[in-house]
Amino acid sequence: MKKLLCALGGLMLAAVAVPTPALADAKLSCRAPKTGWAAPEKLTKKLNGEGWTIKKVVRDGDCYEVYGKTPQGDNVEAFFHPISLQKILVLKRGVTLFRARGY
Amino acid sequence: MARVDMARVGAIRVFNSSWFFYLILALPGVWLLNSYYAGRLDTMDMLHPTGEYSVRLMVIAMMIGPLVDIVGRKPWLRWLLRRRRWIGFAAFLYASAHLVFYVVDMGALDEMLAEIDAPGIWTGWAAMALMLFPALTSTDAAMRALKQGWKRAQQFAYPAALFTLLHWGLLEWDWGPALVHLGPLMLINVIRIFVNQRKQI
Repeated sequence: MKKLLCALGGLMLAAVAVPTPALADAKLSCRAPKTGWAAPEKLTKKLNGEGWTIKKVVRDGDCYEVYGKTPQGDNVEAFFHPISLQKILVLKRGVTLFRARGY
Repeated sequence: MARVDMARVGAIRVFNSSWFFYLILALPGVWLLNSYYAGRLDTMDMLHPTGEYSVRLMVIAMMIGPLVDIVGRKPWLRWLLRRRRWIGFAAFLYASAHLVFYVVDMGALDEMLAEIDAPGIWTGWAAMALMLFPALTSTDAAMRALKQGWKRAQQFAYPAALFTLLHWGLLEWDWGPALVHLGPLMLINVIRIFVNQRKQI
């Protein structure tokens, strides 16, 4: 009984641990260096100019993550390259609205 | 010696008291609300932690039953069993707070309706609706009134957990964190099935 439980416990850990790195690939990388980032205010200003409403800009990995509303009125979470300020990915509640080619 | 014993008895009494347990369950909420009112957390920032604490408590509450089946009615499990409904109800309260902050963050009904068709969103509403059954029947009176049906009402927690997993995984754009929390619950239920089958043989 104890052996069975140990085996199942091990299986349980493996089942949780194994898919995690594989799934982590789904996480976005903006392929940006850690330094030389543009100020977040610059991104906010640029997006405001394009008709976005910005709630918040935060660093997420090697991207700027923006919470706000697109000019089309969608509440989104969007990722931008922190140096070129290129739009990389736009998610509306987990649904991809836009994804830059190559990312 | 007598004084030491009295201190020990007192500590055990506090540890076993219901208000002490309520306090433990409420602590993350108190801390979160304090950060919110102090301005360290925005409305938007409240969504993730309230949801996560709800899931954690839900998973803990739902693991007690399978654990009892697997390792037997150990004293610490009996201690948890007596408190299981409180843990489950606390999970519901954190989920309710999660919903309230979502409503406040969105600010308007039409905004919420505009995204209700997103898979990451409607699964959250579904999980919340399903949690209502076990939550609203969690009193002693409901337990007495519903008799056999009570257990069935509590079992709505299973589809609620499943929709919670979908809600989290879809919104996060990453299944890792949701699976780390809900994977163990799924696996312990699988183990429970095997163990119960062995018991029958």
